[in-house]
Parts: sequence; structure tokens; C-alpha cells
Amino acid sequence: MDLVNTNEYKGAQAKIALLAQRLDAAKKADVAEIRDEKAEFFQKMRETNPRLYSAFRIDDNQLSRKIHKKLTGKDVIVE
Amino acid sequence: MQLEQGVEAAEETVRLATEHLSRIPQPLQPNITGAVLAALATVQATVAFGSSEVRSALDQFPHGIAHETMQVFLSEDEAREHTERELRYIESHRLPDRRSDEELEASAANFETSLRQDRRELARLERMPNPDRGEIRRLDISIQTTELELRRIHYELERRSGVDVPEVFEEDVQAARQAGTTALGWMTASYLGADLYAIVSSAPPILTVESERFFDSLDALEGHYGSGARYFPGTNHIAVRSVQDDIVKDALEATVAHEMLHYIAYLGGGHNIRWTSDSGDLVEQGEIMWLHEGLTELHAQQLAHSHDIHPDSSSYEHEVRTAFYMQRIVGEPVLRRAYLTGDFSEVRTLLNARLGEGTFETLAKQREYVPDPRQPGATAYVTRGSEAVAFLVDRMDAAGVDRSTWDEDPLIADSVRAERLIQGGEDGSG
Repeated sequence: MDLVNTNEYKGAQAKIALLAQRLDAAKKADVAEIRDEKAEFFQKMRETNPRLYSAFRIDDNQLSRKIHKKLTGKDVIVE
Repeated sequence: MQLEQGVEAAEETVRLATEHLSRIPQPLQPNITGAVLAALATVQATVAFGSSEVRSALDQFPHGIAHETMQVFLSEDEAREHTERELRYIESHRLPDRRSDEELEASAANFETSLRQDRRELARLERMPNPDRGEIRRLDISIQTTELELRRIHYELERRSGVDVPEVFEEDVQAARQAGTTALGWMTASYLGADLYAIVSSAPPILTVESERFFDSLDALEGHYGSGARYFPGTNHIAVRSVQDDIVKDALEATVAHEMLHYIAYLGGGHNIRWTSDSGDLVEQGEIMWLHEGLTELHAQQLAHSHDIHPDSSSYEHEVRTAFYMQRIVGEPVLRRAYLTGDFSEVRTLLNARLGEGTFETLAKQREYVPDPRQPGATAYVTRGSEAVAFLVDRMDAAGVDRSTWDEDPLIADSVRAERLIQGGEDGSG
């Protein structure tokens, strides 16, 4: 599948990995900043490149779940 | 105090898990790891629900300790209370909006202006004979985002003025109730297997319809956008968004079935993916979210189609496509059983036999975001459906698997077409 070989894909993949690593290491007080960055990142992707977003939607949901757990201590499956 | 109660309840869980081990049907028998995880889940559940509810659930329904999951089974009223508690909790944990009322109102006015402009532009484009579909999609998303911002301002102003009435439309409640009854009717004994069916019959999923405010609050907390349904692990509670939007409500049965399957698969141990290796060792991988979501959506869509309900779209196209190919290779009953119980031994054997040794392991032994020191760059593992599709397609091509008729199936045809557009040099967004 050619999508996974594009530079856009690899760039997004690296950015998401970084967001996830930062989130794992973040203290609760720092989560909001990462959350806002993540929201902006995925929102822009949805608007400008829906095809790319379709590949990373699972990551958007998974990061949302991580943020939810980090902030509230509770688990939820986002869609 | 809550933590002490949690630890106490956890100890009780271990005792109950041990005591009831022999009574739990064979496919659902928890192992020692399961009992420990159940204890941890109980600590979490106790903090969330209070120890008396956890104890009561355990006492009344020992089968609730299914594999490693501690389930708290809620009635409809309890599910409603759960939602209210969640909303209060989330709103009390969110960061305060420091803008004054005047600033919020000015911001709302700006959003309304922008909304009017976008809607005018959208209407203009839609009147054109060959409109730019990419631009229409962008405007749609922009409008949805602006509407969300406006709603958030509206909630904040309401909260400040002491008005606190999340709105749920009665029509949506009726529609969801109907969809819930229909979808639950699809979860038959022959589909789930007798043991799991018995448990689900005793503790059916509870579906509530929640306000936009509830969902918007969850989304805001997580930096998410527009989620339409949620499942709360550790409970039987499913929530769907009350929204007067026919597109969102398209084939609500499939959405509800998807959330129900999350619950049922969790109950059966399906999110703890494990298999027996060639040397006979048990390999426990645990949750692989992209695979779980793909399998959940695949089964929900197929259930809907088999009952003459045909959703216009499905979620998680790449994950569904991976699950679909796996299903074609190993067979529907084998994959369904693995999905519902978490035991992928047979799937592994069949997949590796057809596509080569190590195929299943590459798909399943992922390391979520964390590079494996033995595999610099972690490129050896699949971390999401798009990569799984690419990997599986390569393996199928190498093994000479003819997938031409599979690719015509409506469930994956759009994904295949979009991929061909990219390969043909177009961006596929139009």
C-alpha cells in the first residue's frame, strides 16, 4: 500500500510516536499541553488530508483514550 | 480511603477469582495473571464506582470475573447515574475557561460570522456542476468544528448562569432503544457460543443516549472531536450521542452493535490476545487496539448486512480490511471465536500455514510506539491497520493468493479503490 511509503505518512507516524512517548512520560499537569497539540495536529490532518487521517484515526482515538486515562484514571473506548 | 477500599476489594477479587475458577466455563477460565489483572481492575473500578457497588456486583455475579476483566454490571438507572457522575467528574477536571462573559460572547460572534461564510460558500460549491469535492469536505469539517466551538461557549455561559440541563432528544432515545433491541437480537447463542451467550443474557449491555454536551465534554477533555459512541470498559455501559443528524444516525444498529461487541469481547477475554507457540508456550500479547477495532467493526458491519441493514459507511477502513483478509484466509468461525475469546492459536496456525511462518507474529507482536531495542526503529512490527494491510497484501502476493474477488466486497471496496487512486497518482481525497 503506497500510502505508508509517502513522506507525509512517515512524518505523521514520527509525530504520533513522539506525542505518545511524551504523553507516557508526562505528569498530569503537562497533559493539557500535549492534548492541545494532538488535537490541532489531527484536526489539521482531517481537514487537509482525509486519506492520511483515515490511516491515523486509530491513533487519534488511542491517544484520546490515553489522555482520558491520564487525566481521570478511568478507561474509555473512544468509538 | 478509596484506595484502601480498592485494595480490600482487590483482595476479595483474588479470593473470588480463585474460588470461582472451577465454576467459570472453560473458555473463560482466568489464569493467575488474569486474577492479578482482575484485582487491579477492581482497584480502578472501586475508585470509579465505590466499593459497595463492586462488592455487590461480585457477589451477585461471580462470572463477572471473565478472564482478566472485572465487570461491574449496571442497570439502566445505574448507567444513567454513571453518566451523570462522569459528566460532573470530567467538568470538574477540565481546565477553567478564563475568558470573561464579554470575551466569550465576542468569540461566539466571530464564530457565527465564520459559520455563515462557510455555509454560504458550501451552498455555492454545491450548486456547481463539478464542485471540488476536497473543498466541500474541508468546508464540512470547518463547519462542524465551528459549531462545536459555539456549543462549547454556549455550555460555558450556561454553566456560569447556573443553567445545567444537558439535552437529550426523546426521538433519539427511542431510536437508540430500538437499535439496541435489534442489535442485541443479533448476539445469538450460535453467534457468541453458549457460554458467552449465557453470560451476556444474564448481564446484557446497557445503552444510554447522552447529550451533545456530555460527548463534547469527553472530547474536550481528550483533545478529540465528534465522537459518537463510547464503551466504558469494566462495565456493561454503552453511550451514544443524541444528535439530530441523519448522517450520524445512519444505520444506528451497526454503531450500537459495534459498541456491544466491544463489551461482549471484553467479557469473553477477547482483548487479551494470546496464542500457543510452536513450542507449546502461552504467548500473551494483551490488547492490540487496531486489531480489536478492526475485528469489532468487521463483525458489526457483517451482522448489520446479514440482517438487511446496509450502512453507508464503516469506520476504521484499514483495520477492517486487515480483519477482512484474515477472515477470508482463516475462515469466519475461527476468526470470530478468536475475536470473542482472545485465543488466536488457530488463527496463527492457519495464517502462517497460508502466508508463511511469522506472518501472524509480525501482525500481533507489535510494540505500541515503543521501539524494540532488538529491532531499531521498530519497523519489524505493525502498529496500525494501514501498515497491517500493506504487510498482508505483500504476503498474499508473495504466496500467490488471489484476492481479486475479495477486493470487490462492499466492506473493503472503497478502501481498495482509494488505494488505486493513490497508486495512479491522484490523492484520493476528491
